Amino acid sequence: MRRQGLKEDIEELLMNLKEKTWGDILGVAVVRPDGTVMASALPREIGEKRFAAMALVVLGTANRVCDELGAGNMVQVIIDGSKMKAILMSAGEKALLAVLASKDANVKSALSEMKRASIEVKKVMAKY
Amino acid sequence: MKIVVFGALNAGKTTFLERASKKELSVKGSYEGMTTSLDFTRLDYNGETVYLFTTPGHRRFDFMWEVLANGMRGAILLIDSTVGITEVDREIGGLIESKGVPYVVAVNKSDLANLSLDMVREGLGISAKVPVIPTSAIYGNGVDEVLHRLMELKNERRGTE
Repeated sequence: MRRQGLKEDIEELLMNLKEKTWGDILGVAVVRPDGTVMASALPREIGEKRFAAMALVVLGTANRVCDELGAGNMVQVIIDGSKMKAILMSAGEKALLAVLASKDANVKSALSEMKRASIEVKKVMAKY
Repeated sequence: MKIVVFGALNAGKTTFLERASKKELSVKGSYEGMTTSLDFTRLDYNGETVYLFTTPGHRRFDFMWEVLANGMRGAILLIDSTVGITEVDREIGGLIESKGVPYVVAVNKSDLANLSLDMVREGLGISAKVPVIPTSAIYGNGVDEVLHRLMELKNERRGTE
């Protein structure tokens, strides 16, 4: 039997997340705080490295905005495009969870599944 | 007025920003010393409010160079004198030139290495009109001069417009 590593464990979580959201979630990635990809399941046309770097910059900037405005802790960022949505949130201090969702996705349900997944990512990472 | 501090990874952009604003940034967009989003501070220069931004230096985040360059009225290009002129420096120099704004080249970490200013000028392929100033952001040397020269250039340009 193949021995599971951190990358494989995270990939499994990402596949579960995609399955649970019934096609609402088109792609997903877990990104390290330096902007590199830990694991991903993204549509072929999305450049993994570029998406990861952009997700990190946006989340970092949102964090900064929350701090400047005294808005409290940043919870998530939702980019609402006319063709697709991107939803970003932290998964502990050492990772962020970035999701691409269809334009008609049920955001409430996607967010709820993402929150669950981010807790799982945190737990898995603590094991390694 | 928006000024952007550009430079390659680890050139000392965040430290430069802190020295220029005379305060440590309360929140840095960084991870293990590498800026991964942006740093920002506001300072008063002879009654004019200056908004100073730094860009992430890693090529992975190069899309942010263009994003942050949008609307800038001046730029500072920080060179790491312990490394010399790199391809990233040349690329950033080209981006700044293309924006047509006044800029100054700061040859940083001059306390650690003595990079020839002529070589910097030659390596970047810039005209004699662009000031090239040695700095040590960590000790504060040359930081005020860079800002002063940039503001002078901006005011000269404003006078001719």
